[in-house]
Amino acid sequence: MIHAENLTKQFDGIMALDHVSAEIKDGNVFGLIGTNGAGKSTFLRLLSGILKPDEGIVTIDGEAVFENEKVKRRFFYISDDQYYFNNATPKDMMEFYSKVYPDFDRKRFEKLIGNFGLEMRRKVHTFSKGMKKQLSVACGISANTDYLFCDETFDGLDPVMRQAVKSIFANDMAERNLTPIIASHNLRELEDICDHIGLLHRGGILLSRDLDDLKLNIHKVQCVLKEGMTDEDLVGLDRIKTETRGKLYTMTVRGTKEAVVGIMESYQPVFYEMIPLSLEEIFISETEVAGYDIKKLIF
Amino acid sequence: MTSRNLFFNIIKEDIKRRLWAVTLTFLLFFFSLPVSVAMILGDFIKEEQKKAYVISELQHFLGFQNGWMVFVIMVLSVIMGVTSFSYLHSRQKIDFYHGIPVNRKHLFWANYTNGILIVTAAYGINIVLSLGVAAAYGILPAKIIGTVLSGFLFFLLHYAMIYAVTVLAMIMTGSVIVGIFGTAVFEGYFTALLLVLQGCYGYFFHTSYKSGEELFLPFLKNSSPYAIFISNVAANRVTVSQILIVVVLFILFTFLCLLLYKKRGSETAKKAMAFKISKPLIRIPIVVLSALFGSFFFYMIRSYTGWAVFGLLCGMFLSHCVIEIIYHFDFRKLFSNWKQMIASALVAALVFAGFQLDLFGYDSYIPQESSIESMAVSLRDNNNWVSYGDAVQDGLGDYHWEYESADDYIFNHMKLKDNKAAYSIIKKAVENNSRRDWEGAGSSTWRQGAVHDLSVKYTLKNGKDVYRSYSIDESEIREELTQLYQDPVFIQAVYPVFSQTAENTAAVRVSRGSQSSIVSRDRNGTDKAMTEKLLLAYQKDFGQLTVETMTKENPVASIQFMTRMQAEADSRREGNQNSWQYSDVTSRGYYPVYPSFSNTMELLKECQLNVDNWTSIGEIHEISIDLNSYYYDKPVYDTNSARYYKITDPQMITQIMSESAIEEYAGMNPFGIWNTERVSFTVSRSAGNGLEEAQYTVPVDRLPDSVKEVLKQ
Repeated sequence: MIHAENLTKQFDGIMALDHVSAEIKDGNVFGLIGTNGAGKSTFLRLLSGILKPDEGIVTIDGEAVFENEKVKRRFFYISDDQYYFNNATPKDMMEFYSKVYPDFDRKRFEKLIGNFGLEMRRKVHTFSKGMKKQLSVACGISANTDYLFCDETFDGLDPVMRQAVKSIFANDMAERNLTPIIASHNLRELEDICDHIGLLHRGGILLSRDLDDLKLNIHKVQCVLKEGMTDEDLVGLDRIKTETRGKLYTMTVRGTKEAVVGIMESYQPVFYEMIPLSLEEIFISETEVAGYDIKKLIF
Repeated sequence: MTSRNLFFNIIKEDIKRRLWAVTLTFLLFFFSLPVSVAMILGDFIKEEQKKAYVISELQHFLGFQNGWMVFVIMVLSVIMGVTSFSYLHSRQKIDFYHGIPVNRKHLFWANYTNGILIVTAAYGINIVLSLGVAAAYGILPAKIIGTVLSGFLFFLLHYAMIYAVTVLAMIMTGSVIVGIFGTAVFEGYFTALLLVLQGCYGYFFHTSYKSGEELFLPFLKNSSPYAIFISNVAANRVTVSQILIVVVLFILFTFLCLLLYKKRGSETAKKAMAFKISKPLIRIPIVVLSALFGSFFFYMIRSYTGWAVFGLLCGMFLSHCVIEIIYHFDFRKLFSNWKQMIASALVAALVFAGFQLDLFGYDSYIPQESSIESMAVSLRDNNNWVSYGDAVQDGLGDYHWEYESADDYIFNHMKLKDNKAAYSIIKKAVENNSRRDWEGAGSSTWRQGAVHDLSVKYTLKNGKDVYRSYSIDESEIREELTQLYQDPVFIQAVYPVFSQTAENTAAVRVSRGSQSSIVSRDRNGTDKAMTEKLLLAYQKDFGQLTVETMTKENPVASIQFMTRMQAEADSRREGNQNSWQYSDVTSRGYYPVYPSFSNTMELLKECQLNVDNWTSIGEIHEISIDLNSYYYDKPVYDTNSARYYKITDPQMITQIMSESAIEEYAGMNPFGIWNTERVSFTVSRSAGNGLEEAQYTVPVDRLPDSVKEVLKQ
C-alpha cells in the first residue's frame, strides 16, 4: 500500500502541493484527477521519488520511497513526456530497463511491441506521440513492478489503443495484482477503469474516495416544488449547487440515494426525479464548491 | 541485482548514450599523439646524428610539457563535464533518471567516473599507439616510457581536477549554457580579479615596485584550477607538493560535487541556478569586479575621476542586469535585487578610491629610519650597460646568457648600512610625488630634464623586505648620488666585476672603438698571473673611482674579464660557422677604463697596448659632424644643408676633444655627459700608415660658438 502523508511541495514560492495525504490500496486503480495546475504531476513525481517533499513522506508498505532503490524497484513511472535516449530503438530501451528492473520481462515487451504494431529496431524519435505512449506503456507493463504511475498516459492514444491499454491493465491487475495510479484530466477515461479517485485542487486534496462511494453519495435532483415553496425550504438536503429555470429546480446534493429520496418525498413536491451524475459532473461540482467556478471560465 | 552490477550497467549504458563524445575524445588524442609523433619522427629520423635530439623532442612532446595537450585536456574537461551531467538540465531526462530504481549517489558516481574513464581509455590507447609509432621508427619504448607515463599521469590528474570544476558548475546550474558560464566564472574570476587589482596597483601606486615580483601576480598561478594546470605545465619540473595540491583539490571538488548533487532538487532543471543561495554569492563578486574594472578602464583612458564614475556605473549596470536576466530568463527582471547592485558598486568604489586616493598611504610610506636594517638602491638608468647574469651551457652543449635583472642582482648584493644618502633621495621623491597632481596625468612619470628611475629594497629589522620604485630629477639628488657613488658598498654591489675571482677568469680582452684584443689568456703560468693581476688592478682602480674623477674624465676604452664559460663559448665561436650564435655570450661583461686607472693602464702597457695614444689628441686631424643625425629629432629640418660639418682647426679640435667622450662608453659614466643634449661626430686620426676613425660625442653647450652657430642653422 502506498501511503502519502502531509506532502508539501513549493516551487519558487508557489505552493504546488499543500499537506496532501492519501492512501492507495493494492490491486485497485487509483485515479488522480484535478484542475490544470492542481498538482497531479507533482504528486506523482513525489510518489516516485523524483522530487523530495518539503514536508511529509511517501512510503510503500512502510518504507520511504525517496532514495530507496529497493522500494523504487516496485514501481515504474511513466512521465507525461517520457524520455528515450538519443537515437534509441525500443530494443535499446528494453536493454536499459532490463538492467535496472530485475524482473523486466523481455518476452512480454517484445510481444507488446508486436501487438502495438511497433518495430523493435526503429528509432524512437521517428515515432508519433501516440506510438511513444504505447512504447512507454510496454516498458512500464514489462517492468513487472507492483505499481505503475501513469501521468496523462492515455492522452494521445487513439480510442482503440486506450481500450487495449485498459485491458492490459485489467489483465495484470487480475494476474499479478498490479496497482496502476493514473493521473489525468480526462475524466471519461478514468470513469470506467478507476476504483478509487483522488481529487486534487490548487495543491490540496479535495476528496479521496472509492468511485462507487463517490457516485452513491452525490446526486442530481430535478424537481418542481409545491406552490409557495423554494429550494431554501428543503431543510435537511445537503445542496452543493442549485440551478433554477422557472419553477424547475436542478440541484446537486450530497447523501445516499435513500436519504435524498426520503427528504424529497417528505416535502411532497409536484415532481421530482433522481438523475445519475457522471464523474465529470462530480468533478465540476466538487471543484465549484472549492471556488473553481466554471462559469467564470466561459467567456 | 547487486549495486555493483547496477553501477557497471549504468556506466555501460552511459557510454552507449554518449558515443559521440567517446569518438571525439579518441580522435582528439589520435591526431594529437600518434599522428603527431609520426610527423615529428618522419622529419628527423633520417639523420642519425640527430637521434638524441629526436628522443629529447619526443620526451618533451609525450611528457607533461606539451602545450597543445593543455588545450586538448581543457576542451575535453568541458565536453565531458557537460555531457556527464547535462541531463540535470532537462525535466524530461531528470524524471527519467531519478524515476528509475537507482539512487542519486550511484547515478552520480556512474556519470562522474565515466567522464574520467572515457578520457583515460582514449588517452591510454593513443599513448600505446604513439609508442608503437616510435618503435616503428627505431626508438625503443624503454627509452621514453618513463617520461610518457609521468606525462600521462600528470595530464590525467589535472584533467580530473578541472573536469570536477565543470561538473560542479553543471550541478549548480539548470541549463547547459549557464553551466558553461559557471565554469568560466569558477576558472576565471580570481584570475581576472587579481589582474584588475594588479592593474590598479601598478597604475595608481606610483611607488609600486615596477621590475620585480608584483603584489598580486604571485597569486595568479594559484588563482584557479586552469591557472594551476598551466603553471604546473610551464614549470620545468613538477614537485610532489604541486601534485598533492592537485590531488587534494580534485578530492575536494569531487566531494563538493557529490554533496551538491544529492542536495540538488530535480525541479531545478531549466532554471538558471539550482541553488537559490548561490545566486547572490556568484552575482555580487562579479558585479564588484565589473564595476571596479569599468572604473579602472575608463580612468586609465582619460585619467579623470568623472570617467571613473562613468565606468563604475557601466560595469555595475551591465554585469548586474545581464546576470539578473540570465537568472530569471526574463529581460524585465534586470533590476531585481537593485539594493545588492548598489552595495556591490559601493564596494567597488571603495576599492577604487583606496587605490586612486591612496587611502592606505602606500605611496607616502617610508619605513622609520630606525626600523631599517639595510637598504639597496638600483639606479636603472646608470646600470643599463652592465650585463647581469651568467654564461651557461645547456644539455645539448650550446652556450646561452642567462639573464638576471639589475634589480635582482643589486638587491641580492647590496646592504647599505649607512642609509643617509639613500634615505634622503627617497624622502625627496616621496615629497615630490605628494606635490604632484596626478589627475589627468595618467600614470606617466615623464618630466622634463634628466630623471632617475630608481628601485629600492628596504630590509627591515623585523626581517621583512619592502620594495618601492621612485622617479626623481637628477638635479634634486646630485649631492646624494655623489655620496652613494663614493660608498664602496654601493659600488661593489652594482658592478658584478667586483665579485669576479681570478679562478673564474680565463682571459682579459680590451676594446677601444672597433679595435679589440685579448691581452691575457689563461694558457700558461705567465698569462694566468697577468690575468689575475689585471683583475685585481682593475678592481682596485674601479673601487677607488671618485665622483670628482667621473665628472672630469670619460672612459677611453673598455675591458672584459672573460669567465671560463665565456672563454669556452669564445673558443667554440672561433671554430664554428654559426659564430653569431655565441656573440650574445662573449660580448657581455665589458667595463669602462678611465684615463686615471693607473694600475690597470700600467699592466696594459706591459701587455703591449699603446695606451698613451688613448688620451692623446695630437694625431687627430679632422672632426666630422653628421648634421643630419643631429637634426634628426629636431623641429627644423633643412634638406639643403650640408650633410657633414668638418673641423680641421687644431685649436678647435683640442677644445672639442677635451669635452668629448667615445660615444660607445659615454653611457658608462653616470656623472658624464650621457644625459645632456649631445652631438655625435667622427674623429679621424693617424694610426701607423693609415687612418683610424672613432665615434665621439660632446654636449652641444660645450662646443665652440662657431660650431653652435652652424648647428643652429
